[in-house]
Amino acid sequence: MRSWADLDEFQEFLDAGGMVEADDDMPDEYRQEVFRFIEFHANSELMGGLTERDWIPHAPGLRLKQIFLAKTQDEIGHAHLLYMVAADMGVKTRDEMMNDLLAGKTRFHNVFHYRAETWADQIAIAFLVDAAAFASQRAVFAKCTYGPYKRILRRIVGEEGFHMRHGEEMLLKMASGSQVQHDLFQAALERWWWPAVQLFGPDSPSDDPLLRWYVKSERNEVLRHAYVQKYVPLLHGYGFTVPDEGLHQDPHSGEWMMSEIDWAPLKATFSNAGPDSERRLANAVRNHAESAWFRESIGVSA
Amino acid sequence: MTMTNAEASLAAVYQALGQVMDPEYGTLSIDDLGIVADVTLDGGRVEVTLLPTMAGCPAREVIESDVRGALENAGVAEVSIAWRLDGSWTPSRLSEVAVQQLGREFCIAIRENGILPACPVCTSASLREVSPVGPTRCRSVAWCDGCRNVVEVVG
Repeated sequence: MRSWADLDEFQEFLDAGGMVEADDDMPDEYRQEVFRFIEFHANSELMGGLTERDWIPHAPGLRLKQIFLAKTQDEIGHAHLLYMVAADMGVKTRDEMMNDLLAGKTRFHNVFHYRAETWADQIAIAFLVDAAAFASQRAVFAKCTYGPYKRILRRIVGEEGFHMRHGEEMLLKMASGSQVQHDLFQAALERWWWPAVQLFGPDSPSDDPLLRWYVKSERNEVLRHAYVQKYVPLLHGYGFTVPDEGLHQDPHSGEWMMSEIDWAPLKATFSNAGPDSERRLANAVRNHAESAWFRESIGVSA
Repeated sequence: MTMTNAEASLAAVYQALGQVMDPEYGTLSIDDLGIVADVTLDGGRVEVTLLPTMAGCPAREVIESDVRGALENAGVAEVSIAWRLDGSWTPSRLSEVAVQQLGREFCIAIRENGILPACPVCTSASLREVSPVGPTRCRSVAWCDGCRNVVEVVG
């Protein structure tokens, strides 16, 4: 077990490339921030997995059902690993995290506060949202000074990368399909573009402790900008229109510049007041109650 | 040293298969993972038999299309791929490279003969199984009481 005299000494350790392990006597500020970050990630995987599960019966064809089944298992499995690492940090137990999530006291990713209305929404989620989540998780994995989190991120990032291939494949089918399929995806794109872009969060504050402690490796706005550079040309290439009238290419750099982002929808999701938050949480509460018999049978509570 | 044509092309096929990476763990080839069960040559035709780690593996289709692509790139005129679904994959099919890398890079340990292995992170004998499946059906989830890391276990 290592310990540090103060935050400055701890910072020197991190600046030199140090990695924090579970039994280190880490500063409480670091423990709390890293815990909150992992709890948010775990909640998001769980809420995402429950959404994908809802679409298994609606997925067109056995093959897509199998893919959604496997993706659901991935997401719920990721939540399981993340809750284990988070609970070990000694801030909250797994039961407390689950109760707080179900009571709407903690947060999960903005994209799970919207309703997926058609199968095309599910494709937009797989293509746009999974890619945004992947980029954001990969940027955490790149440094991530908390060892136990970094080790599971290695596998999570690999598995999310595999999901993206399915998203691309499903999108290709829509893009090369009938006019009806094209229109369905265009409508879904209009619902999901802004939530996907906002998944990266507002611009990072200049003194973001998660950046200072190398939990995150890159600022939110840098990741968001890189995502836009990649996805705008891809969507245009498939013949879709990005729902942003102010979107333009900078005449000098050629970079894609977006309109100013309205952050009100993102902020609403922070307090679980998004368009579909209530139904999603009720769904999670019901799921938790319905699966209680199974947890009891294997002797665990959450 | 001289090689017959058949030997030369068999080597070329294995070389091409060695470039096909697992879709989730992009640094390990399907050959290292023991997924390639058999290769037969018949003139310009190559028949590959693949053996998934689990019959219901959701990555089968992607692996199959990657194998086809790699062999076509290597100049094989006709590729035929079959899956053997008899459940005969065991961790003993993993190459030494795969075992090392799964442990070191991915914190995935290999269980043989039903005995939990040493923790790949701290090497202590402190693993405890937490759940029989995790994010994938081919791995269980364990917790190391020694270094307090989550480890996944194959086999």
